[in-house]
Amino acid sequence: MIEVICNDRLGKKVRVKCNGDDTVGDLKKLIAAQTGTNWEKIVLKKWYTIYKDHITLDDYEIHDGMSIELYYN
Amino acid sequence: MSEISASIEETNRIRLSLGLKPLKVGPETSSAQIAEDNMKRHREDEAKKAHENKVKSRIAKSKNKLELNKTMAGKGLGEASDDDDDGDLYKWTMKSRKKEKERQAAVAAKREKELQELDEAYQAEYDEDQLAGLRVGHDMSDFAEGEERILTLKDSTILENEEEGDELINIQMTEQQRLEKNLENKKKKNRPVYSAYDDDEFTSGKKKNLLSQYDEVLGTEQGNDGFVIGKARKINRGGTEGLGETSSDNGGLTAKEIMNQKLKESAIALTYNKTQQAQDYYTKDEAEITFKKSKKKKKSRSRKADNWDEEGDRDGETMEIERPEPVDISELNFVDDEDLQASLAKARRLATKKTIKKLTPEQIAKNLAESKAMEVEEDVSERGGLIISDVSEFVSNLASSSAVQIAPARPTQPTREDSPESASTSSPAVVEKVQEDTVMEETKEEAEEDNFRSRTRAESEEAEDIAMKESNESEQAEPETVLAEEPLVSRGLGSTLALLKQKGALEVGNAEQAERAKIQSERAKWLAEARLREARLAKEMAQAKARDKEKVRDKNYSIRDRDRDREYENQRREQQLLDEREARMKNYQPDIKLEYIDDSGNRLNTKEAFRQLSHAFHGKTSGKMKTEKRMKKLEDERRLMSMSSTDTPLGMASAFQERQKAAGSAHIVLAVGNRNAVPSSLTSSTVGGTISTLASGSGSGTASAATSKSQPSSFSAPSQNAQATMSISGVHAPNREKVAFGLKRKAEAAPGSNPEESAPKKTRN
Repeated sequence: MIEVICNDRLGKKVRVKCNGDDTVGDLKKLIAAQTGTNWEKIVLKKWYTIYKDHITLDDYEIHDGMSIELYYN
Repeated sequence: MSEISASIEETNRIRLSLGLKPLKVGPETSSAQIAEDNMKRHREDEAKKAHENKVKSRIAKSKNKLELNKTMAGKGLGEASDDDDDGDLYKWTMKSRKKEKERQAAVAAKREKELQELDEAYQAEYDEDQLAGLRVGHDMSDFAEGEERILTLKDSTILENEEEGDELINIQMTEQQRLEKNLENKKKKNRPVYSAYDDDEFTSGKKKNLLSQYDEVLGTEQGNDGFVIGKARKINRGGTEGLGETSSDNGGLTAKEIMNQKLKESAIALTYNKTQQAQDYYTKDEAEITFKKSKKKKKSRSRKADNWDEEGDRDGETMEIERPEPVDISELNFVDDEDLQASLAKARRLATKKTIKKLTPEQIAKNLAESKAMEVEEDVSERGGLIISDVSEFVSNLASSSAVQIAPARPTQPTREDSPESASTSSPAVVEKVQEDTVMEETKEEAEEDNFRSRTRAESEEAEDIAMKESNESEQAEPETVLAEEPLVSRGLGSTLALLKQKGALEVGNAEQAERAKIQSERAKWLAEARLREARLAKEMAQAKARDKEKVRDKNYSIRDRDRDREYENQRREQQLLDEREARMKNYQPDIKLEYIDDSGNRLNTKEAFRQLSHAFHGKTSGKMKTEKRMKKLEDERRLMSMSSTDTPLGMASAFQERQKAAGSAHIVLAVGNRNAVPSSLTSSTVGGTISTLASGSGSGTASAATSKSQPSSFSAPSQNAQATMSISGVHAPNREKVAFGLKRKAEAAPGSNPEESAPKKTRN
């Protein structure tokens, strides 16, 4: 289990517990469940890389305690 | 700002609702953990292995000890057994000897058995047949009958063996052969190479090779005969090949016998068919028999080269002495055509030698002296002596041609009492005279003329004086006769210029032009001087710069000093330059001439030039009428300029001349009768009494337009006087006189244009 911190810098900062082999889409769904936004509106970014839904967190090398930028579209 | 977070249970619930597997909560199986585990396991393994090894080595040690102890068991040296031969040396010796014997016997038996087997094997397969095909390195004759020789295999390298196969030799015999050969060689060394009798061929049976004395030294074993066991002799290697089967029995043939054999084989029948005629075509064999063309010697070429060398040598030797032609020895063995060629070549060489002179030392010295003299001459010419060159010849020709033009125009000379010869000789003298300066005339000229002739000196001097006067006057005075003799253009540029001058095409320079020419020449001189001065100045500056540079190199010369010096130097130079320029400008006379030229290239005078400028300035031109007037004036001027000076514009003079020539008479009839018309058929002989001379059109009212037009022009030109003095031939002499008189008066009156005197003079029968 890893814990990821997602911050949209607009007042929402979510600490999400998930597995390493979860996909980004799963993470989005978890975030959506915690924040109450539609998961399809969520965009996860680190600098200029937009994380794609079908790729796992391990593959993106997202480790425990990492923060991810949270955007909406 | 607070973080939104969910507990694990909450998250698991959410995950469940989303259809995801629950969170993996438990010990973390990170890679570090795994690595640690691995390391631990590895260490344990190693420890275990080390322990096992230890145990194994201990076991091995104990085993070794056990074995060692086992060998130690039994009797020791000290406690040796003394059961049967204890202390009995005799017994022990006997026993050992017996043992030894037995052993040797066994070995001998074994050896014998082996040898026997070997022998048997050899006997089985090696006999005379086996020897067949082996080559023996000696001649058959070397082996005597019943003699026993042991042959061994010859020593040879592997390569040689591969090549030739095995060869049997007898060591004694080979030694003997070598000895003999050495002796022979020693003898040969003492013997001279050349023998006067060329009978080696017959004694030794073969032709001598080139430098054959060295052959045997080089190839010692070359002549070694041999034979092959079990075969006939003919297969033998070496020089006795052609002997055939018959000679095999008597193996040792002497050289003479071989020779005989050869001669017999190549016997030639001396009889031949005498009646046989010479044929055009032969078979190959016949051709070979009948005629063998001797090869052409290649010698000729080299011999020629030798000759040339000889020639060169001879040329070299002529520098010292003249020696008689050596006899060419090589000519003695000439064959006919070569002989011819050689003689031809010799002739050619002689011819060339004649043209190319041999240089003796005297000649060389002479040449040198000549060339030196030439150089000296050149120097002299540079200094300004008498130069005779193309240019000078041309210039002198210019002067002479102008003199020639004048000299024959003087009719006085031939009328003198001189013989024509003297006159002809005097004229070149005149020419010379004119060429010379007047100052020089007394001395030099007289001396020259002494050489020519002494008799007519006075006359020639007179002639010279006249010529001099003429030449002086000719520039100012007009030629007296109108139709003066024209100088020929073909004579040169001088005469051409003279002709042009005479014709008026070339204007003779007036005072103004002379002045201008003078000024121009001065200016040219000034320019040249200025250029020279500038060059000098530049040189000086360059020198100064070089000096400066040298100074700069000096260590003690500081920068400030240098700047100061440079400034001073610059100032000085400037001042110098200015001074020089001033000095130069002292006699500067610029050659300025303002000339205005209009669009059509005519030169304008001041008034016209001003008008042009004014027109250009105001942007207007004269009106049409004015322009036309000016154009007409210009045209008239042009026409006047282009008018012939010797004839009327209509060519009346030439027409008259032609008419005279056609009529064959010295006069011409202009008009007859009242009508003033001349019938074309009328000639002077048929006119009879009715001749009317030309009348002035102004007086007679009946004058036709044509005559009135032509007359003023014919009388206006003074050159027409000659033609105008026509003699009118008539039957009556008094009338003619009258006419002539009238004409004369008319001619005199014409310029004056007195109406009374220029009344018509007409005569009538």
